Amino acid sequence: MNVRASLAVAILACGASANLRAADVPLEVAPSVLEAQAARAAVIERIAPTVVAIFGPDGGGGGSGVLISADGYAVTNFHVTDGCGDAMKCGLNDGKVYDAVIVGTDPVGDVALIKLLGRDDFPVAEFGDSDAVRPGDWCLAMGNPFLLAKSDFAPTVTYGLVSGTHRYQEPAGTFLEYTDCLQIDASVNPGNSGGPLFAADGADAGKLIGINGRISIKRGRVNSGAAYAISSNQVKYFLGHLRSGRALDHGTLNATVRTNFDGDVLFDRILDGSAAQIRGVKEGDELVAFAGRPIRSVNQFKNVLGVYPAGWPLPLTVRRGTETIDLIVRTRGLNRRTDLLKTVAPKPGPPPNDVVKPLLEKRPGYVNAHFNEVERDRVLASLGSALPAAGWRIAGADADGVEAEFTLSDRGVGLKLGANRFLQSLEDDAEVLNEPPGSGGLLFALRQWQLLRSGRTTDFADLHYVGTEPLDWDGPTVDVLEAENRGVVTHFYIEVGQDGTGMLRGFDSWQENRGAATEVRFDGDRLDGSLPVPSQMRVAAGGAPYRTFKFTTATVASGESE
Amino acid sequence: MIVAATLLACGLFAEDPAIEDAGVATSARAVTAETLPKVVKIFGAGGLRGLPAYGTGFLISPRGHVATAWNHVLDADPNILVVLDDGRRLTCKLLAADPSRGLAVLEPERDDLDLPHFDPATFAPAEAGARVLAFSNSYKVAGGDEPVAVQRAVISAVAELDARRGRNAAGIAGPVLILDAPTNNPGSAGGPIVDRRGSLVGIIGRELKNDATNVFVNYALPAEKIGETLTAMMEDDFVATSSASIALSGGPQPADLGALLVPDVVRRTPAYVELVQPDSPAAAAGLRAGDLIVLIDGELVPSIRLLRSRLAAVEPGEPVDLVVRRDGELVPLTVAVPEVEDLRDPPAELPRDRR
Amino acid sequence: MTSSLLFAAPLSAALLCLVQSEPADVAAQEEAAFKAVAAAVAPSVVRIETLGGVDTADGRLLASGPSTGTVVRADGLILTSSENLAGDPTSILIRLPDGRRVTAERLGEDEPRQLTLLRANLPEDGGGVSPASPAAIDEVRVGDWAIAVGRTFSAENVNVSVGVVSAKGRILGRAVQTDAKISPANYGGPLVDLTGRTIGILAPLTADGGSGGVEWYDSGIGFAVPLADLEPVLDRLAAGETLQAGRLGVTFKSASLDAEPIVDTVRPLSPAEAAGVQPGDRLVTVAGRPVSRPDEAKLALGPHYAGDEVTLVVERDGKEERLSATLVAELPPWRPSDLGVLPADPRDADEAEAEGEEADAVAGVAIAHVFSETAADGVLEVGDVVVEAAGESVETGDDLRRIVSRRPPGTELLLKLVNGDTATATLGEPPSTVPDTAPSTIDPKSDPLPADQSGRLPLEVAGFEGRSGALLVPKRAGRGGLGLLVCLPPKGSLTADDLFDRFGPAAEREGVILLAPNPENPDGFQPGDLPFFAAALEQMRERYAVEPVRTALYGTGGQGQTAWRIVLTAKSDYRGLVTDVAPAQLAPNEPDQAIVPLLIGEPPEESREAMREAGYPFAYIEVKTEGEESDADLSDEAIDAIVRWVTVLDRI
Repeated sequence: MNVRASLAVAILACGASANLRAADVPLEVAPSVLEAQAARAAVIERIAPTVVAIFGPDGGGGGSGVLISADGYAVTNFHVTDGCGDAMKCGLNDGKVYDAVIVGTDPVGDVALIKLLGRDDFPVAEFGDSDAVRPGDWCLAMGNPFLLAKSDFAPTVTYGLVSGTHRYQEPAGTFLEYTDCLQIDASVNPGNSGGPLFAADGADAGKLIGINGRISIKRGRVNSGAAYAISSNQVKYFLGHLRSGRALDHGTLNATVRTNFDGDVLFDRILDGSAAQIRGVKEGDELVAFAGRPIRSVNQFKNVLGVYPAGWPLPLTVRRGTETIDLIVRTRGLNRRTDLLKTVAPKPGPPPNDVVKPLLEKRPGYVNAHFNEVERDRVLASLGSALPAAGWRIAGADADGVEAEFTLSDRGVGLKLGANRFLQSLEDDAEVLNEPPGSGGLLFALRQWQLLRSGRTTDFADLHYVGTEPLDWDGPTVDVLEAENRGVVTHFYIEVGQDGTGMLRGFDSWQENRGAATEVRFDGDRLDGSLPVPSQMRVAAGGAPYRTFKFTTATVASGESE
Repeated sequence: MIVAATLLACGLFAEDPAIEDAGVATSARAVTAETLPKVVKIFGAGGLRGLPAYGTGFLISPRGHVATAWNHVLDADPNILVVLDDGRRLTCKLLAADPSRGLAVLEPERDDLDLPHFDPATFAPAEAGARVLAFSNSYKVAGGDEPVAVQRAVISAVAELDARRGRNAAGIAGPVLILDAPTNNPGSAGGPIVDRRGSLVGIIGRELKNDATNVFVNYALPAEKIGETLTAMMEDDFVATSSASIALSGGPQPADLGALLVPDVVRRTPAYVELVQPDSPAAAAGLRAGDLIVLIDGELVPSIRLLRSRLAAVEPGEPVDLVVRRDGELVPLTVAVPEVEDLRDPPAELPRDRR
Repeated sequence: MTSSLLFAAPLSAALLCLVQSEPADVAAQEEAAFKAVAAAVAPSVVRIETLGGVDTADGRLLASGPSTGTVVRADGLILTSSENLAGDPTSILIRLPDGRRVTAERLGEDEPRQLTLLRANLPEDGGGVSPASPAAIDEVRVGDWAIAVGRTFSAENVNVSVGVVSAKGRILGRAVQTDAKISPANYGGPLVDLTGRTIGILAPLTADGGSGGVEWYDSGIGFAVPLADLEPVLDRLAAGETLQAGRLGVTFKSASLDAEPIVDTVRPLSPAEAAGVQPGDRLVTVAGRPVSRPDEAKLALGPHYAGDEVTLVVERDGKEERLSATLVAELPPWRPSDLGVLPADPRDADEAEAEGEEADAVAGVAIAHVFSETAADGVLEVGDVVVEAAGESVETGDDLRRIVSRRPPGTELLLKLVNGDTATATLGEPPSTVPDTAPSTIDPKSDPLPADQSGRLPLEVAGFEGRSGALLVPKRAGRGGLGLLVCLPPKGSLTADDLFDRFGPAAEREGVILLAPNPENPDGFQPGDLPFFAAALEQMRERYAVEPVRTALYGTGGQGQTAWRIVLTAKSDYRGLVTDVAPAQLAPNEPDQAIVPLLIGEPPEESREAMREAGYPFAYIEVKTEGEESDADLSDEAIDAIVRWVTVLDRI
């Protein structure tokens, strides 16, 4: 029945009487249709309180965001906070205004983390799995387009389809690159930026799958059928880092890839000293898989690079002839630090008010150093009370049964390994020497561990919070602290449990200007006694295993040794 | 490569319990998954002067015949690049065009393929109120093996685009499907519109503004009545004459003036203007889309081919007098021809293979 | 995860199971529902065709094609978007659903909602139309299907666009928002729910509540005015009334997003004043809605028309008061008036108090000067102390100024003096020239300022380190404190130092501080400099006895518009503005934060008229300008006049 036919029927039904209202209104509607509609409205009612309308400190400008934790952390676009400044006013659909402060930014990925203040029971959006989203799935975009919500902060809801997944949208310069993003046809307009994209179907309805941030335009700045959302998984990967109060970078392998005629993706150019080169990747190697995804195009390669913070350990599978090689690489920063830090500079505008001021610390190198201190102190506190600061003696054997004894003191770090003796002096004029061959800089690295665990963190030139990462890609999620000492950078990996108790799972140490790291991983129970260190220590250097030590005794030396 | 892509597609399909449970693929996700392999990305002419050089089409035979909208993208003699959903590239030629319906069919060079496709015999009718899905490479969002975009729409009306004119500026006679979503964007033309069962009901038309309201209209050509035409275009010995532009190095071409003509399909394709670029000499002179160029410097131009050759002889930097037919009237215009250095690189107009 | 989330999850999960189990059926049934809705509402949807009229309005090209109307009464009342009739057509035809054409005429208009009511001259058989049935807005939920219907592509069939309800209470509470594509294809048509009931009439509203436009067409941002809200006013519209937005006449202390809704000013002769609203009142409820922010107060007033009576609950001195105001369409323009006196130094009273005299004995405002040929001339004398005006007690010069300023010229003002005498003055127009003479403002008896705090000083503003500028502070205080002239160095050759050389002697003599910051941006001062100016003024007021009503900004020679912007943004910081241009945009002057302009050169008649209408009591000094930099041509007399004008800015 087409409209014309229905119209004729309707007119007949009405007859000639002009005094009747449309005779068949209200229409009978199939119950399943009404139920689906009611379900959608219920989902919207449930998630609308998590949508944030963001304004500048004077109430001008603005965009959208979404709350992700009860204590007020909310995600938005970098380009929203960049326009608003470090302090913001945020409205929720309860009609109330909350002060908010910048926490961390990802200028490349166009993501920023802010914190709303004044409550510890904010409504929270639940993360979905954006990789499970398929084209044709229904979705809900919510936010503050054209600042229409300025009166009551009730978000605008638009409904549509996921038009495409794993889209790549070019950056502006090196910032605002949308990798692996979702394309949607739900209407997105200026002001929607930073607002949530929710799944609308099935069991995942109401779960956060993206952050809307970009549209294709053809006639002025309004929606023309194609909008792009940063995937929620990318946001998840960056979240720990965003809490560090820094301007984050995206990763690069310092290598270019190209597609050959058969559609294979090959490494084209690999810069000296790049992560790929250090791990032994050669020009002409075929890139088979990256971060667990098969790579069939240059865009897919860029998509993988774009969703993880610089420095994450990512598995890489390359094929060289008939040989398949699996590696873990750590990406390097894409941008010069100075370019990133340009985004950190304080914005002109009124000084922060008394609510925001205690939570905002502008320090060189940080978006908001306050939050770095909060996270660093949380992780340090999770490790519990400090171990004794005096010399440590840890003894056991390697996997081949060769006896090993480590001595760590303020003067130096020593290793007796069978008949061999190694000593790393810590005297001021000492050079880095006499490290066990193949261990990288194991002894100096162990000293960093001792400093951390004995509470002597002020001995580090710098100690800050980096963020979170999966330990060695497939391990548990760990918090990362970065320490700097005499040109050696150490990343400590600490697994913090739900109860706030942390366990040091290992650390990597490397010379600032030299790539390959000494990698130490702890396993097993803690030894009883005065020095409760893990019973097993695996050591590798530059990805190549060195030795695994099993410890039997660990004691605090009464005096300085050797 | 083929195996890998197929496996991947199956993998995706099997992962999705909703599709299996439903039995019939009628959810938007399932219809999308089923339709995407039949949609192709087309890369051709345009590009120069910032006009989109990409479009969308869909497969109408196992061999890989592509149906699309007849527009300037196809004026890429002799070869048009068609990229399949799985990333494979097909070199195609313009096999036939039906200007009255704004349709064209492309044929791949190779003939050894067995591809998923829409069977022209199964094209379905569409009526107002029907829910449809529109597929297109709008804004060139997809490259290689990336799938094109899907949009949801409802057929707003089935109507003549502008009844007052009978035959509107788009050159389309008869009713079209008006859509309630912004489906007609750069690169969308030629994309398929399917109903909620996945049957083809329309072909996205070119971008067009409504003269009366000055707003963009989103519309599609109804598929129901064109199945036979497309089949005829595929099967008949209707071989298009190649674009017979006469290349003169350095001489201006219509695109240099900011005027895009309809594809030069047959030997005497009339010189209809398809698009006028804003801020171009043609726009400044008042040339409009839909104009038929009749005279150039007083000489009759019965075909695009002759227009090109006459224009190529014009001295760059000098104005050229045109007379166009617009709404049944003859309108004189004077267009400023840009200086030589403003013109495109000569290599882009190297002599072409003429059949 | 919060408890609220946990609470809500099982409910929606249960509902969603239904969606998931039968996706195919639901999609098909939804499609059938859309078609049924279109069919059901079609007899309410007519095509509007217009003849004649203009092509453009407000600089935009108007659509000429057919548009849509919604039948709201069986006798032919049709609501449509005013946008469809913006060309003011000479003739309107209605194409009925059955294809017949009838004529129609315009009846009333709802200006804030941008809707027009038409009456179609229906045929005897009623034309087969059926009025739209309104949906109950309370039952409409965000996320519900919303089907926009028009009749523009063909006369025979309606066209539909399907979306959802995006929000309610938009555009100051006047509209429902939808993501269905709204454009000239359906402006004036109904937005319909799944049961065929009309949620509202589609209209291209804009966020500021201003006139429509089609910029947002098809963007997924569309609006419909609830039909249910319009039912109560249909009779008025049918009677040809033009309904206008209602105004109350208050401003708030702060426009900040989270400011309290505290009344700052009450417009004279406004509904708020008539209702008894007073500055300092905190709005508690407006038209029955609790309000906690200025934006909420606007939202509460938004749906109301001029003529509506609204109840206000205000909190004053810790008590709630219930007031009733009848809104008006236009607030009467403020007409500043002049008594023609200068008040004496208020600190005289403080000193008297400090000396142990009875405070009552010195209550009131002493008159320091009476200008000749003014309202006060011959009525008041220097030394008179005014204690009451128009029945209100007067304690400070500001009190008297407020009382005078709220009464238009021509008002007879009854003044009571401290000695019991009364006098009546007929208020006059503010002067348009700078008086030739003014009493000396320097108090020779006052203690001179220390040398390191007066004379030429570098300008250092706390919190804005690194910004430069110069400062000139006279040695002695003037009557009631020092005047303050903030100078924007003009673009071009004149520097801050040049300005000081020219203005310095007069400023020193008359007791006016000169403050000249240098712009950070080579293009001159920017809106971003506002916090700097605010901080500089605050610092001056902290350090010196600055009389706030004798504070002015000087900006000429390419800085005129910037100066206007600064002053109009920070009205509480300035009273005077010396400039050489009329402003690009002129907001109405507010009596309690009035800006008094002094124009260098005689402004063109149209800008004089505009400033008069907006309530700006401007004066001007004629100068012989030859070059663009009028400053360069200022005579010594003109400079003296400018400084003298600053010293009498406290004129009442």
